[in-house]
Amino acid sequence: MKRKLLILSALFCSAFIIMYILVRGAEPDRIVSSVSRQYTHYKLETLDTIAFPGRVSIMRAAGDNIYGYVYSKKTVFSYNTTQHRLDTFFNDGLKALPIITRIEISPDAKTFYLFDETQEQLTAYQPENKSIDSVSAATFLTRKGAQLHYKDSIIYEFTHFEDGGLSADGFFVHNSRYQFFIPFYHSGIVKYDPSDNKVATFQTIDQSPPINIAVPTGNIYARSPKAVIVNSTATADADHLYVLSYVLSQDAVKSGYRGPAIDVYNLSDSKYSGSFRLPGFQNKPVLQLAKCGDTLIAAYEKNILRFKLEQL
Amino acid sequence: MKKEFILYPIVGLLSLLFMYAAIAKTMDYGFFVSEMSKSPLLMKYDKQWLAPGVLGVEFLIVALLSFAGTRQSGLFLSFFVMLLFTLYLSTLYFFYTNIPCSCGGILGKMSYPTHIIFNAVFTLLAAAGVMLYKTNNAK
Repeated sequence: MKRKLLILSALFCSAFIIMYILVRGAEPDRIVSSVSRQYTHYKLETLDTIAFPGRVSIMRAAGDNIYGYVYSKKTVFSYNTTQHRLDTFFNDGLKALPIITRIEISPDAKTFYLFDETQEQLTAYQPENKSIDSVSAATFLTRKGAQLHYKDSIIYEFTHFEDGGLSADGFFVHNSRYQFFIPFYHSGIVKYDPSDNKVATFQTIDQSPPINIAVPTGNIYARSPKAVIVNSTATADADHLYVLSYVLSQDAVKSGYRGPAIDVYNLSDSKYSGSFRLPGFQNKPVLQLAKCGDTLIAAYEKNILRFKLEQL
Repeated sequence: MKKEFILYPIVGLLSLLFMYAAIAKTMDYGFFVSEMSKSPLLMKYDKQWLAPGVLGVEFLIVALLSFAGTRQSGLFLSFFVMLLFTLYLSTLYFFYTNIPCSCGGILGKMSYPTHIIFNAVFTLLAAAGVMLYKTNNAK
């Protein structure tokens, strides 16, 4: 009897060990879509590679400069693409900020807005005269729970989310005309035109619904272990929105390709206009995108790659 | 004597289950491998070896359960394999969205919760069979 129990216990433990090994080596969950992507409209050519002093969690580009925030150094670095020089742009020496969660650049590239964790207090930095101000609102979309705000007005409310906005988690992108809110976990993009106060929404090609994102635990909601990132990062130029999507399309399933793809959307009609894939780099994921002219910039953790993007 | 009235049906049910599962997978082998290839937990492993390995173990269990001299080993192996299947399905169901099912026949048509409960019941049956089995049953 004891011997049998001992063997059963050993088999029980072995089964858990095997499951642990399988889970450790498992691939992250992915959403599989029934659509196929079109790869014939864009061509990508690598220009150069820039090493930053740490993992770049926020990246912006303006003119000849690329700005990357390295959290481990609590510093925003700037890289000049013509002089090939990396400098410290903003750090604790200028003003102590607990953490920067978002960076936006004014259209004339003279003022940089650094958002803190709450996204309610902004630090406005003008590098030319090194002036630093605290501002409470700027001309950018912000999110509070299940609402999008522009300055002091509520311009959009996420519907069907009773979880305090957890399912509406996402990030912001803008060009000279529009501001976008792109959710991480589903396909509904919000497009806002401040000039005429118009809000529109459109779906990415995968049309992933907002499910399996939040689960109730008592009186609060928590992120579901099944929440799968659909849209990881994005950037925009005057005519297009470029979204880095982790949804597996049918062509990827058939070919066995497991990486993400950049889906491009025309801003004039919000329609899908093609996709392209970024090359791999040292097995690192792409964390951030930026676009400057015909140059697409991608942050692969510590390295930033510049590409020439051509529409065919 | 009473224990044998419980033990033999357990052995019979386990034999039937593994025989059915193995034959169903064999008859639709392509689908079995294809679904196994989609499993996020098994991505790193070569399905050319894994798929026949799973089938081989299922047939082995049936063979071990068929003979008195190896029945106890068959019961232990049944317990281990059913527990593994239960844990595997539970992990997929609770933590993944994109979950394939490479089980054959009617087993593949069960919903995940039903399948998990089904597997758990058979795991317990196998454990019960181990505990009820006396070595003198081998005679």
